[in-house]
Amino acid sequence: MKGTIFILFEDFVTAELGDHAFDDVLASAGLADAEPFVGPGTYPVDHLRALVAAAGERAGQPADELLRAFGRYAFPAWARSAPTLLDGVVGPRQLLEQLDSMVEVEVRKLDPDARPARFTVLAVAGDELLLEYESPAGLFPLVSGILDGIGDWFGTGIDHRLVSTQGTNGTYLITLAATPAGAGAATHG
Amino acid sequence: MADTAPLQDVEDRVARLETRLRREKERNRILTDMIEERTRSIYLAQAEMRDNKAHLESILRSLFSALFITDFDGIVTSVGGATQALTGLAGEQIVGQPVWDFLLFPQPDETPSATTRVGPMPAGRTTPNIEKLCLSQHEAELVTRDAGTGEVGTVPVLVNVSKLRNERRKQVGVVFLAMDTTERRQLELELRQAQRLEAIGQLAAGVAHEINTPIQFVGDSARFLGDVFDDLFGLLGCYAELKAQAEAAGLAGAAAAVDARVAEIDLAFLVDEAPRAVERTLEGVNRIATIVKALKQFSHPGGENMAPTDLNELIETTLVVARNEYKYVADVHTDLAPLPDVTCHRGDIASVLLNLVVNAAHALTDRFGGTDQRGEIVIRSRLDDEGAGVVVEVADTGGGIPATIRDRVFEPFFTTKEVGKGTGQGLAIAHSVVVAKHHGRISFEVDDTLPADDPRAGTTFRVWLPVDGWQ
Repeated sequence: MKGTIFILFEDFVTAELGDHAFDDVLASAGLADAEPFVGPGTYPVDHLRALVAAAGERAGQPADELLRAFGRYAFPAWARSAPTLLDGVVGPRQLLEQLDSMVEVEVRKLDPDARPARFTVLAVAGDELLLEYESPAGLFPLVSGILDGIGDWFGTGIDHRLVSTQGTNGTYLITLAATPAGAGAATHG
Repeated sequence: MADTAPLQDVEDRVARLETRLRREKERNRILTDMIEERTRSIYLAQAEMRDNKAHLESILRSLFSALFITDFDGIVTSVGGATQALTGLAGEQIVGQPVWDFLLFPQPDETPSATTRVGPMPAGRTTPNIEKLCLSQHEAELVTRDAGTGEVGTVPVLVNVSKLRNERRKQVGVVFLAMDTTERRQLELELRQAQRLEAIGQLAAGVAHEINTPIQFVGDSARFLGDVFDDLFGLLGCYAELKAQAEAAGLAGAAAAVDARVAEIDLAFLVDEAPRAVERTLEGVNRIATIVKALKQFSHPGGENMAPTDLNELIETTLVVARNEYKYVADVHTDLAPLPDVTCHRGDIASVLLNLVVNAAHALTDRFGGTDQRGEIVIRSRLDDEGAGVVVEVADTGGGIPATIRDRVFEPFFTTKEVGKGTGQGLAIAHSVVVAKHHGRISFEVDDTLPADDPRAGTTFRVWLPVDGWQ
């Protein structure tokens, strides 16, 4: 998993649990002596799971719930850190259709041999679409949180449900609400 | 106790900050190393890309093919390979234009060779369907523009059309790779011409063989008849003596009957003309025999390898074979110096000589046909000054070649002859045979000091062949 996610998680823990919380979370996860995370680095996904579990324990919150909250925090934070990536993207539907290529570019620019998670829009009917998530990590709560975050970013509700899973892959049924006038990436610059 | 707690708190905070400081320093070190490594990787990757790009461009240039990249509507987005060298057009003259303006694909009702349009696609002409063109080869014409004169023309090309895909296999354009097939088409034509000539040669050899036997017994019979006439004429002398004696013996009636018969058949004329008829017959038979011999020699296929050849004998044979072409319009003279045998492909050189003589005859026909004037063809042969090669010249007084077309004389398909009389291949093939196949030279000369209407004005073609040949 890319270091960017870990950096965002560090920011998330600091923002939600306090200035020194991440030191404790690192220690609780058994990673106090590990090398610090850097954005371009690659780390085992189990490290994230351990950090999430430790942070959840400290917050008194189930790990999946905290992971989803992190996803909701992560997307807007990531979008703010690289606003040009969303140039010309006017709504969640367009973003979801481009998500796969965006993730691929952002991951493989750091490691050409990496195999990032895949997001494929399988079908679109009216305001509904089916989004397939494929990843050996199977971080469904994180994906759900990211979908929440996308809705927050565009100022529109996104209703989504994980309708099927196959191992670590899953399919989401997403219902898009109409984007309010004036909403969009530009409003968050 | 009350004083200790804040101190402990401060120490904890300092410890935490020191921990964080260490982590940030470590993070900084890792990032610095990473930047170093990534920078090096990027540099190496860019160097490799430059190498690959140069490698690919070198391959494309070596293909001597024009390369057009287009969007899905056929609008050229970039060009590469030898496009500029082949078309005479700069990239910026091509980019942004429809590829159909530069690659002329045959229309559904056209054969490739019928595609002669030059310039923008005219109204009513069907734009080829790119999808249908993809993944196969097509014969087409590539539009060319002469950099000097601006003259527009076309060259035949074989076009490979394929989809251009990015790393993720997504189609991002269309590639048209057009390979110049002028030389291939020329070779195919030469092959067809050679096959045709070989077939004609075989036919001629067969005909010559068939004629040879009857012409021998016609000649033998004519000679026999000549001998018979000699004997009969001797016998007639005896009969004249006998008739005189019969007349003297009182057989006047019988003698008168003989005289009447002699007068009726005009015996004197017969005695006078019969030997001449036999003589003319034998002369004709001899001429036929000479032509047959020449045909057999000329059409002899020869081997795949070069062989020592008597060029003077080949010239004489050629003149016999081509006589019908020049006999009404030209007097032919030869000036043949003693030559060593030249190692060459006999059949090919015979074709070259025949072409030069026939071309000379046609030039003279154009100039003197329908008049009572005749031109002249002179064929000379000599060893060159170094003794390394043989020079054969075919000179005519056909008026010469206009200066405006002299640089095109050896071009394939170029002809000034009327439709049906010339294919424009003769001199092109002669050039190919002499230069490419024998490493010889072929050129021509026009004496521009003479006005075109001067009776001596004409062209001299000169062929130089190495004596020892070239394999």
